[in-house]
Amino acid sequence: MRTGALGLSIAALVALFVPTVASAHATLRGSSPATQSSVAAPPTEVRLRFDQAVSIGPRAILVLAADGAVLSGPARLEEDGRVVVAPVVGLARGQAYTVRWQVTSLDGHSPAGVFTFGVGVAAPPPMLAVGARGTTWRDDAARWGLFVALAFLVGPLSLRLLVLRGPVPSALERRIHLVTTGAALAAINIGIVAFVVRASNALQLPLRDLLYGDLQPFAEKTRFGIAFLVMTVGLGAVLGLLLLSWVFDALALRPVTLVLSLGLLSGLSLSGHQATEPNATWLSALVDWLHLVAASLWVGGVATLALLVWPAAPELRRRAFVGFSRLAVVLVLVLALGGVYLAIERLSRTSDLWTTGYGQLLLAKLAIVAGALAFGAFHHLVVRPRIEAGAGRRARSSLVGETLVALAVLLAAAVLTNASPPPPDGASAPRASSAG
Amino acid sequence: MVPPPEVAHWLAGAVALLIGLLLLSEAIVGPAVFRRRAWRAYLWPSIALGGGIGLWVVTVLSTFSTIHLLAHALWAEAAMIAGAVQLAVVRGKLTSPRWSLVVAAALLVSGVAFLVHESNPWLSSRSAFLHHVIGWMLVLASLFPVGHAIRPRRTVWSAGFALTFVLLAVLLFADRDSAPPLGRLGEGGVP
Amino acid sequence: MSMGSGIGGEVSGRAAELRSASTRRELRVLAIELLGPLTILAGIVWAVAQPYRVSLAHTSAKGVYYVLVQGPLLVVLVGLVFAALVAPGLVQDLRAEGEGDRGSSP
Repeated sequence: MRTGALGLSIAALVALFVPTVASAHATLRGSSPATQSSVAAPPTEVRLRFDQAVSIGPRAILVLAADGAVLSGPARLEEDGRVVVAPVVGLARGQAYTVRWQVTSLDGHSPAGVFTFGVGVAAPPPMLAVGARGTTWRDDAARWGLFVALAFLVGPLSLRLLVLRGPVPSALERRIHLVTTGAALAAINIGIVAFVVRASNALQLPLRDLLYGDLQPFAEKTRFGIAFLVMTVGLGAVLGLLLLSWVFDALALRPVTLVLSLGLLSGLSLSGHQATEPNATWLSALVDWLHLVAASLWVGGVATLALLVWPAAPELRRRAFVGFSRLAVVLVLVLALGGVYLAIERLSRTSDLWTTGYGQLLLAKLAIVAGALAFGAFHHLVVRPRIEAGAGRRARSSLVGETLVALAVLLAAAVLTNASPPPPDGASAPRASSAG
Repeated sequence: MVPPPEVAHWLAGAVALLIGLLLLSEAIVGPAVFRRRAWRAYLWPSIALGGGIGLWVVTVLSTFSTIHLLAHALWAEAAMIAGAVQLAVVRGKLTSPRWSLVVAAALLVSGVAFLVHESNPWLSSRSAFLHHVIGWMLVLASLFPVGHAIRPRRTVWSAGFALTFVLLAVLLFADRDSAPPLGRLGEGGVP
Repeated sequence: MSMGSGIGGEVSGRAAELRSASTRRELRVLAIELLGPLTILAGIVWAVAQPYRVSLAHTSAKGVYYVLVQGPLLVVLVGLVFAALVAPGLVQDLRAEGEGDRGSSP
């Protein structure tokens, strides 16, 4: 009966995947040129089609050249107010252009958006639109929050599945349920914030208008956006699995949950530098994913030891510490080898380490990593033998210390992710921020 | 191809109606009889949890505006958490009647999200009218689970909670996105 | 004699309780059995009152979704699902509870 109830719940979950939407104010239904498109010949006008009649000002559509010059004339309405048209002059082949638009719906709201198109060239990502601001501390904070949430999602799961196999005290099991579920919720919400913040850098709208900003070009035409879409739905499924695992004590769902969560981390790699820079390859994206997986498991594992196992399951401290210590060796090896490879990929010359902003950030990250590795070495070489011998009760404070340093590593990684690496030798000027 | 908004709302209305009938029947026969067969007891919380996961798909298809993205995300989380807590209550993992307050919070948050993301006057369009009615209805309906938490044996709380979903279904079925508040569209929902 | 009348009073009181409980139970059974058909009827009434909601009768309607998803038919479907899958078991369990109560009476 319990299996049947669980099966029914899962069937209900699957049956209700209905992709539907809702809207109230005017929504952009299409444009000419299309958003993020490349056209063969310079257009003479830009047309925006909405799902309802709108009202406009003369600058409802602005077409901007790369140098910021305005190439569009006053906008007009057609087709009973559903289409907004602006003439454009002076467009040339081989150039990319930015379209910024803002209209007023019948309900009084002012939806707005930005997209780019190229004439005979690829359209740059909307984050590189004319007038867009680069990443700020908000992007760094959001990315750091996402890294931390993902570490607290996969860390406890992996420790439980790989190190503490078999029954554990119910107090520890409860805490693992609570932390992983909270981490999944946090990852989803922080991911949404990160996406909106990234889009807002390009939209450059006041908050009131940002609420009605059109995020579709960012969501559907950029790697970052597609990663966001897939990760949000995927993490929603992870959250569902975690909740079912808790309700039905179905620990058998945890391996699936962990595998799915680790797979979703690839969204960050596939939208990051290692997949989007001119010299990116499938190998660099794969190594980046492995680097991220190892870091998440290591940070999350140490935190789980310090914050969950130590207080909730004293009888398991020895087994957990020794087991994780062995796992950590593998994780640190993957981290180190992967990090070296990725650094070589991103920095063509050794001098880039101290002559470029990206290199200097990497050096700062390496300094913090060195601190974390020192903690790890101390635990592995000094504390572990004591614990195996039955002593080492004060390990918790050093574990907390390693956790804090590891969280600082994640912060440095977040800032590095949002920074622009120097161009590979022979490539063009650096791209602003990570991914398109 | 993404379906029109009112089609989404009609489907949601069908789900709400089914949940309403289940809750109404539980209020009529009493929890003891209703939960004799475990699948009945698990049904509506499972639908809520599954609906919440489905709402994440809706969320990522709502990037045409920031506020719709945020509102759908909020509804998805509220449905999932409320469904999971109710599943745990039915399973016996959570025993205090005060866990009904989680459902109350989910209704309150959902109602507020309706009201905040529809900031137009009541009669500006049918969509606005329905958003206001649904929003206030959910906010007020959050009192039913609160009553259940305080006086779990009173049938009025469970009956009121059930009728909320029936009324929600009626309101969702009333949606014709571009129609005036009391008017209608032509055949096939095409304006 | 007084003992006999005391026992008799208890028995008749208990019988009255059982009759009252039985009546309430039958009313509940009726309510459950009517929920599904009433929902189906509501869908039919809606289809009659607003025939333009039923796209099956208007094949010129644009969009596959308006053919797949029609409000009145959804209501009828929900009523059918409830009547077929949920109501019978509920009625059975409600009546079984009643027989259990009768079985426990002296």
